[in-house]
Amino acid sequence: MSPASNDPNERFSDRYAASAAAALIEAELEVLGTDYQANGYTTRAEADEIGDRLDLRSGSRLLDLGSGCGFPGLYLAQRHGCSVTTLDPVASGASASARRSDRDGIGDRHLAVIGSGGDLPFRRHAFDAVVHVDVMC
Amino acid sequence: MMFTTIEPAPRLSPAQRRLARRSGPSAVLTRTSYLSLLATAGFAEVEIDDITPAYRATQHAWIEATRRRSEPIRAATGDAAFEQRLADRSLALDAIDAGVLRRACYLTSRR
Repeated sequence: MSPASNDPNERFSDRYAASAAAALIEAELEVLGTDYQANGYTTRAEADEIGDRLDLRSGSRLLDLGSGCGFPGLYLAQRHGCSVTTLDPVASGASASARRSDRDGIGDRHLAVIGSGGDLPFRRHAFDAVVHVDVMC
Repeated sequence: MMFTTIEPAPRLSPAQRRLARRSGPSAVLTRTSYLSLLATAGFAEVEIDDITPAYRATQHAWIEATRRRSEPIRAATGDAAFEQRLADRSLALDAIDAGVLRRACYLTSRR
C-alpha cells in the first residue's frame, strides 16, 4: 500500500481533479452505476439502500461526511428530495459537488462545506441523518 | 447515522492484522473498534452488516475497468498515480481473498 499522507489535500486533491476525466466517469458508471466522480465502493444500489434505511424524505437534513465530489449525498438529495450538506477537507471536492448540484437543479438544497469530521463546524442537532462512505478508503 | 468502512476482519492473528494494515487503506489503521468509538460518542443500537462480498466484487470490477481504459486513464492521472492506484487495489483484493480485510456497513442512532 502506498505511504499514506496524513494531509487529505495532498492525498486526494489530484485524484478529485482527475476524476472528471471521461474515461474515469465511464469506469465509474460501469463499476458503481454512478457518474459523480466517485472512485470508492458504494454502488448506486447501496446508496439506494442507505437512503431507504435512513428514511430520507423531503425536508430531511442530511450531512454527508467526507463527501469527496458529492456522492452519495447529492444523489440521495436528488432521489429523496432532502437537503444535503457535503463536508470534505479538499477544496476541489467541494467545488465539484457545488457544480454538480447546480447542474442537477438542487443547488438550493445543497451546501458544500470545506472542513474536517474531526472538528465539525455545525451546531448540535443540525441534521436528521448522517452518512459517510469509505472515508480515507 | 449510516456509514461504510473498510476494516480488519475480526479475530485476526497479530500477523494477519499487520497484513491488513499494510494492504488496506488508512481507515484500517484505527486502533479503536468502531463499536467502542460509537459508544463513546453516544450512539446506541448499532447494526452491522458485513458487505465484504460486494466490496470484493467492486474492487475487482475497478481493476478490470481501469485496465481496459488504461491509456486514457493514464493520460488523466499520470503514470505514477495510475500504477500506484492499480497496485493498491490489487493488494487490497489479495487481502480480501486472504480473509484479512472486510467492508462493513454500520447503522446507528443516538440515545
